[in-house]
Amino acid sequence: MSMLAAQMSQMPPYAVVLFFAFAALTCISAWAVVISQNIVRMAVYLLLTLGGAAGLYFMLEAEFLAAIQLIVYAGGTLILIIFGVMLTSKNPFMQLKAAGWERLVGALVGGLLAILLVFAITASHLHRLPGGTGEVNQVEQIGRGLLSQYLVPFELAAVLLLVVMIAAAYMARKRAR
Amino acid sequence: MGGGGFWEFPQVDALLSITIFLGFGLGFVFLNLLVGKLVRPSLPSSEKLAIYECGEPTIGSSWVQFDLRFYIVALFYLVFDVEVALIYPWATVYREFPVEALVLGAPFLGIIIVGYAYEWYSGSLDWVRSTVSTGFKGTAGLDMGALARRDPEAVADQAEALSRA
Repeated sequence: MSMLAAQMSQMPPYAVVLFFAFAALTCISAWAVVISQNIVRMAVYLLLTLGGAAGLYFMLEAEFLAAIQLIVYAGGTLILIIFGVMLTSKNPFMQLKAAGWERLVGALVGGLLAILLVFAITASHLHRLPGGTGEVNQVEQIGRGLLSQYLVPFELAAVLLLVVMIAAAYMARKRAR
Repeated sequence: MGGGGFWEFPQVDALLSITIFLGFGLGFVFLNLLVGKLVRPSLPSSEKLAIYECGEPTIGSSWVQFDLRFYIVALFYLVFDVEVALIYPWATVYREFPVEALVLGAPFLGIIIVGYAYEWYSGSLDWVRSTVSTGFKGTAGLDMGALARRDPEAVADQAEALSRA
């Protein structure tokens, strides 16, 4: 905590306020996704969670990641989830309520993951890493990485997208016949 | 709008502007709704409480199972969304390493174009399947110009010719 306080003291006060605002938005809407019982509301809260996470990425000077978070997750994946809901839900008053043991298992897994993350963050040396200067062109850096060190994942991503497109064509054809 | 001190925070400054902008936008909507709620007279009638649907009487529930085609369109959108996310950094370094970018980017784009061509050829991009296909398979012997002109007679003639064949 003192580490956090030291970091905070180096930032202008409005940055601290912004950080806590985005962190609160992310955490509260994530909690709302869990406790909400209407699947459409869950999707809206998920949108707020993803938007808050994008704000946090932005504060970490990862603008490209923030933009991709908004375009791909908040824009694309969420639309896919909502269309999935439109495909499945037939009852407007359908309530998703977890059984007791489901809550227990969920709390256990979530708690263990939280403990793991806290240990990982406190054990890492993230706070000693130099801060970004804001002058590096991240997109160009990523582009250079894609053409050198990360070439194989780059090409494999195309194969993955091909698989998705073929699967979509299969689904479309199955419906037509 | 400098960050001051020994650190400069261009991103945080930009984010602050965006957040203030969004906050004003959201606040404006809710403030007006609140003012409206406080000021307006409340005289509800069954006509007023009906769901507004462009003046048409509503039919049935809106909670119906939608067509799978919407989902497939969303899936396509996501595929090309991810493609743009990967191709944009590639495009920014194109000027720096034109040969490498072309040679290494060609397989990436090629694989995606193969998928797109397959979609088009298999006719999964057609919205209305029953009348006419825009896929290459269905266009054999079809005058697409007549379709584009929405010439119903020409289209009907072609459909008849196709059904006989």
